[in-house]
Amino acid sequence: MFFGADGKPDDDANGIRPVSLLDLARLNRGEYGAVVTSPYLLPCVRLIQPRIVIAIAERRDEADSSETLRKFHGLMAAQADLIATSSEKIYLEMCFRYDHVLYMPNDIEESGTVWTEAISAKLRGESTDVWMHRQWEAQAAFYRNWHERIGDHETICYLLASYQYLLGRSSAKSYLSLSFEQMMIKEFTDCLRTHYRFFSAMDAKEGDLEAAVRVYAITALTDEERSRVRVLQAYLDQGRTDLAKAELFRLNDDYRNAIGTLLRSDDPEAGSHLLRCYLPVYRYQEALQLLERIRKQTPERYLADLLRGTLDMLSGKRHEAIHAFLRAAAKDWLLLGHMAELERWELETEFALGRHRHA
Amino acid sequence: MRNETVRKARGNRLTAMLQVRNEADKHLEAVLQDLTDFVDEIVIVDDASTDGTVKLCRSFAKVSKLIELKQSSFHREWELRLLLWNAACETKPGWLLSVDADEFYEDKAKAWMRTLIDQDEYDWVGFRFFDFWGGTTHYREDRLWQIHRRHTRSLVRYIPGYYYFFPRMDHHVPRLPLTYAALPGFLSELRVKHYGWAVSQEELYRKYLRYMERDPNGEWGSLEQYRSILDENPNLVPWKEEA
Repeated sequence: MFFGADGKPDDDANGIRPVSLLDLARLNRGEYGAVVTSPYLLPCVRLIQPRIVIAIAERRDEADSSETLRKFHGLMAAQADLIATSSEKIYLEMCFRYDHVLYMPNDIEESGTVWTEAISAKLRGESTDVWMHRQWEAQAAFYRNWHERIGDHETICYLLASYQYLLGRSSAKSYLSLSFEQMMIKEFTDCLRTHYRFFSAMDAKEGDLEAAVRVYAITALTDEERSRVRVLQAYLDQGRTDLAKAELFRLNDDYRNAIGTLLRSDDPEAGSHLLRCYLPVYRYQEALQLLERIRKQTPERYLADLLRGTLDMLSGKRHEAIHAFLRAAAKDWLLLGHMAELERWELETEFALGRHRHA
Repeated sequence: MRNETVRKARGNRLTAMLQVRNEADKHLEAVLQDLTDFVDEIVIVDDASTDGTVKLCRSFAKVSKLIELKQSSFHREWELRLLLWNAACETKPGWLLSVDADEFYEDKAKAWMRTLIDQDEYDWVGFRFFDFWGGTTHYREDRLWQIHRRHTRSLVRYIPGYYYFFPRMDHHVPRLPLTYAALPGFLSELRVKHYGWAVSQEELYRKYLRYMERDPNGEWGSLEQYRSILDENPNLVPWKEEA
């Protein structure tokens, strides 16, 4: 069954039937899984308290990609038990952020199996790591095949390097080198941060932190980047390798490995670093739990209120959200901007529900 | 190794690097004399010279490393470039200046050299090279001869551990690793005098024949430009020294 306006003529034949918002509210709690395509439908998802929430992340128009909208979609992905997308660009970005991402290209038969198996694993409370690995293997094989057929190509080698990196293989460096060389030959020279810096994440993954910091330092051109190098070097000097490693991952937008490193770390500052990793990828639930745990270390209580308000907003708890935002604004009135975000959220939600009601 | 050493803003050593072959009777002596005045060290690869080039190189105290090839690698330019590059990097330079045996930096460029290298903002410098023609008073400027209209990267910071890459080509290999292009650079208006074409009509004709013999189908360069070497009245512009 589906709630929405995007039904297809053969839905009946496939046993798919539309349901109204009222029907949705009557469904037995905890019996269903929810596949959600819009963040504005998250409050509806809460109605049925699904056993599993699967977010479908799709490419959006440039014109439709404001910071607020990106945030709402990011929050949807972070709230889901599984994230699926047919866009490889989004898929790779998500793989560097979350532990439960599936690629669902329309033209690959195997994806159907992976889809079913991954959902079953998730329902059994198991990790989806094995399925993610299988898909990375498949993608790496796909691009290796392309590489063998057409030779060195900057994009193919870069994608191949990315999948080998995700798989934790040292060959990632060789493919990144080939990609970097091709970028130079074709005079796509603006790639110090996009391509060369990636070597620092690879060195960090291999545990060669001295080399990783050095590579990052070569790419550090702004004052801010150079101050990060000094911080990284200080961590190394103090033997705080977890912090250095996590920071190098974070600076390469590899939040997933940064978070994993910090979660395993016993460094007293790991918590505050974790917070810095959770926030940009909208993992607010985990950030809030962390804030509760490290309350003494973080005087910024307003941050907890902001996160709580946003999570309440997603659950359709309007009043709770307003209260939380107002509490946060008592610390800094500029934070009242979140009320405007709430307003936007409500408008969009109303629009989404209205559209579906009239479908 | 610390970041401060990635880009040192002072106290940088400058090493000049040259690849030479049978240059004893041309501009090499003047070039080495000129370099002696403003670089700290000179590294040379001699590509199997049969004249007095090696002896001449050895007579300059700042030539700290001289590699003599017994067999010419001229037709494997990629290997030559790499050999020179590796030899120069072994001197642990702060910066490297890639010089041909017929190139002279104008006085103003030499005066600015330390300022150019003792900073931590950019990693290479581009200069304007001028092709002098038939002598040392005029340079050539027309549709096919306008290298001075763009910048040529010849001065680079040596960053240990960076990814250095030369395309594996037999001819027209860039003088410095291509991957410098990804690093921040500075395009200066300082000039370099290239005397490679500042020769007699007879020598110009011999050079034309050599180019045509080496690349008869214009695979590595432009046949039209090769032919223009024989132009009877090329457009020549007088060179003006700047203070």
